[in-house]
Amino acid sequence: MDTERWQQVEEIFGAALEHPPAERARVVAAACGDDDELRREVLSLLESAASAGDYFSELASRAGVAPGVEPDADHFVGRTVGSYRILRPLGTGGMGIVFLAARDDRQFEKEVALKLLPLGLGSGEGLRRFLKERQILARLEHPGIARLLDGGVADDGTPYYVMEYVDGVPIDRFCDEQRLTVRARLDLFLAVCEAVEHAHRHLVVHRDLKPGNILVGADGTVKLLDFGIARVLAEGDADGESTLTRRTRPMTLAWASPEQVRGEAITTASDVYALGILLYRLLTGLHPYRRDFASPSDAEYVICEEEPTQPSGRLAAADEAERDAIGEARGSSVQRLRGDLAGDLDAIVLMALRKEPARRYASVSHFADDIRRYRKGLPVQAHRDSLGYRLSRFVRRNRLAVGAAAAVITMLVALVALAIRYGVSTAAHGRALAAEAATTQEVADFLVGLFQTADPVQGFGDTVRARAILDEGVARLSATDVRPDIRARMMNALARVYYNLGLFGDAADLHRQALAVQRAVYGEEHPDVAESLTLLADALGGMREFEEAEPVYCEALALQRRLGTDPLETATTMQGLARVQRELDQADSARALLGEVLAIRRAALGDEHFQAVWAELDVAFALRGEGKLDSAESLYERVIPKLRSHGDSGARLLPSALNNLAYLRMTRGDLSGAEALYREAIAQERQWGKIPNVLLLYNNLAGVLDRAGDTAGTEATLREAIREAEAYWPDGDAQIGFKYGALGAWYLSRELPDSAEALLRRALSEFATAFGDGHSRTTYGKVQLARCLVAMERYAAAEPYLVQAFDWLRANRGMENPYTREVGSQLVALYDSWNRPDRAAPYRRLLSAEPRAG
Amino acid sequence: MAPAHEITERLRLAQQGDRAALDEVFALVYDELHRLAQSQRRRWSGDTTLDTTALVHEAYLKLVSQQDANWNDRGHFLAVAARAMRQLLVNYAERRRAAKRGGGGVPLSIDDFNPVSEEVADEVIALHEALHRLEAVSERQARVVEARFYVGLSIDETARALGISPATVKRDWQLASAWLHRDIQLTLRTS
Repeated sequence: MDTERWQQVEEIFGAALEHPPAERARVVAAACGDDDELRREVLSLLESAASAGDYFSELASRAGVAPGVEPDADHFVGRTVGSYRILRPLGTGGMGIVFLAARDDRQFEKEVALKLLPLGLGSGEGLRRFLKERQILARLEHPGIARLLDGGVADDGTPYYVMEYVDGVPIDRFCDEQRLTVRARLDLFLAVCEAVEHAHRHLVVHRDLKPGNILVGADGTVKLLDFGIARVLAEGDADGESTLTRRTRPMTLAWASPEQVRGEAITTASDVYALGILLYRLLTGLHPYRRDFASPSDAEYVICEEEPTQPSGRLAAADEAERDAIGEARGSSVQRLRGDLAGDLDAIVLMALRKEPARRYASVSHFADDIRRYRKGLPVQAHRDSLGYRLSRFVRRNRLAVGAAAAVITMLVALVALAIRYGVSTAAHGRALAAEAATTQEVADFLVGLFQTADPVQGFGDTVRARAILDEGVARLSATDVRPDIRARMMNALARVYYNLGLFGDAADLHRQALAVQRAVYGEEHPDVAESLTLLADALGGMREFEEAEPVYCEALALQRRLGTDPLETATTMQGLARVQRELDQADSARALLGEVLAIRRAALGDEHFQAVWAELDVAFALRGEGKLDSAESLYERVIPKLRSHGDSGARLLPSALNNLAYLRMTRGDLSGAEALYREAIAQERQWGKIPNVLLLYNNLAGVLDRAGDTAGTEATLREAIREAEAYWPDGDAQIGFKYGALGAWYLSRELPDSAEALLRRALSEFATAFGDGHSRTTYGKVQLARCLVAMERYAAAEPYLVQAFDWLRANRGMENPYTREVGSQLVALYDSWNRPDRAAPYRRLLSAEPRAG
Repeated sequence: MAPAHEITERLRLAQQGDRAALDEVFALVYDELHRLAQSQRRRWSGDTTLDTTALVHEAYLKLVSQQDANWNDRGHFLAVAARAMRQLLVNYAERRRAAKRGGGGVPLSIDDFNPVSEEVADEVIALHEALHRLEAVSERQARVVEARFYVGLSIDETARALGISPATVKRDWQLASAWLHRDIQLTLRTS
């Protein structure tokens, strides 16, 4: 085939296609004249053309590649599908092409809409499901829903639906063209809701509600199209072996709900969401989020994470050109519209648009009812839930801030409770000492006032600020005249807030002070003293001063037992002690204690109570520590689902539980299982915990990915860790050094010293800044860098690092330390490669000398 | 990985006919697509289909800065990406075929990511070779097929990517797909 010939073919082929099929042979013959070969060629191509489009569509699906090539609408005109004759195309959509058709038997020339679904039916299973779906949909009878009249399978295997032909205009266009006011739009919207609600009662979810599927006739009647068809398509995808192969792109992202985007279950709540978007559009003419997305992950982020701006606010942000159009279309001005929407309508729309399905309106009729309430001027349900919802979204978004804010709120609550408690006890003892009561009230007011300088939820976005306020609180407390026992309690409360912020040292100090005061007031045998002891031990544990913490726990426990304290309280002390004992390698004792804790909590609270679950978790960890890996694993598997069901408190413990189970899986060789768990742990820790823990998890994740041979994943994870560390500690921190070091070491392990060098240098500089030059970490960093330089044969550069490292190690760890010897041999090896035997000699001598007896 | 603006620069050069620049961009894009394919598999674990459209979008974001690129560049990118995707797919197909025949090299284990199944490997390769022959006669039509098949672009998107009119794309597609279809059937029947 040469180019010239090809052009001829092209021309004739193109010309032929412009004629109806019946005439093509004639046209070709005429154009080719005597050239039989040319004629045969073009005719053969025309024949192949008829099925080429479908072929490639199908090949794409079978090859598992691109969503597929859209079929050509014109191709079908004039054909008969079932007992219908196709007249002309009406439109294309994500769900196939729609044609205007008429029954082929001349008796009934009623026009219908025939929709070809972009599926290829495989085995009987797919067909059966399609037909069953058709039965369900055919039963939907409602004036607001386009009737499904018929359905079947065309000759080529394409399934089709026949529906009532609706001559109408998409609802948003209708409203704009008719310049309907907000009121009138709400009326239409309510009609839409009624139709959707009807379908929901028949257990049919639309799944693809958007203006294109909601048509309004000239007389103002609303009709919904394509109910439930999305489900037929989606079902096909869900199969492992697709009997229904997908040929076109899935949902229209702009209208997709978070659960749809994430591939989770679609329910009536998803329709509520879509209706929310529709209402948003009808009221403002704008979309709550961006309409086009750069990539699927971008879409996912925007839809699942970004909070939609409330409609009245969005209008304010509209630009000049848009404003006029928007106002005109609603027979009003943007100014007045904002006023109309602000408050109730804003809240109603936003409630429908909530990210979690469960937090939206429970049903479409609830949605509609709230609108009706608004119309009547009655209070609207949407407001009730909103503060809690906003708070929970804030909490989700501001991971670190959660710790600080929660800590401060806790304290506020504790202080106020204290003040009240004291007030109650004075009355109970009949001592109405006005002066004392006044003082207490003053203190309480004062401290509460301290934290009302800013909105508590907004103001404590960082530990630094919260800490400064705490510090001031402590100072003011010591300057305030207050009863000693109250003072001690307040100190403990403040200390506990420090603890929650991770400032264990400060917490411990305050607890000690409180203890001193209490001992002075009560002597030793008092529950308050026991409480302070436990709290102090907790703080010491947080500082990882386990040897100090243990005796304090023991003292607290003994005291509690002597005083006959409630077993649940002693159980908490025991739990703290057990943890510390585990760190001190007293495994047996620890496990025995935990067993007791678990028993106490189960007896008092039941198996499912959070505290009991927490104790079980500790037991699992203990088992793991003792090497009883199988028992540990199965216990974790039992406990983790329980944790999940415990909402926020469970969520805080989940990451470490997942982390431990992941580790166990990994040691068993289940790498992908481990990976999944680590990722979940990371997600959870990010939401509820602290970034430093997230970084630890990244290490573990990278480890598993590396083992699984996923170099791209490992690298990405290690880089991500660096990024997060740098974001978290913008002024630098040893942790950043560790992350750079980790990536550098990994490159080294893959024999990419060039890539490693800069990273290892950075790591070293972070260590030097954080720990100083005379520290083991810095030394280790030097060794790593030196290794890297040696691998690049840059001996002169490597030498000083190794020498410094060796010198430090020898001075601080001694020659008999294996690591010192290791670095020594590396130094010798360096000199050998560098060909400097004279320099190697002294080190060789050092290494060959007999190690001193230990 | 070359900095973003360098890619755009190379794309421009390639568009002006600089073959070396084109090869470089192609290699970069290929690597990125391959990398993304592997990581995409991880996201939807177990599912071995390859959403090439998404891959190309992501590769575009990674390789070409949004600020740098204007509409034309995106089109050029898509054109190159389509070719790279074609190459990627053929590589998978060849590996699959080699594994089936037990030919040398590391055997394909069940866990190795390969979106191309045995049944389809032959067709993918047949398409590739047929496209190669089509290129000799009409490069433009081969590009249209690449854009539509490997990246799933619509008629309009293809038109914009290649800088030709939608009508041309439509005609090209009709003819090229017909010719390729026929050719592939022939190849498969006689192989």
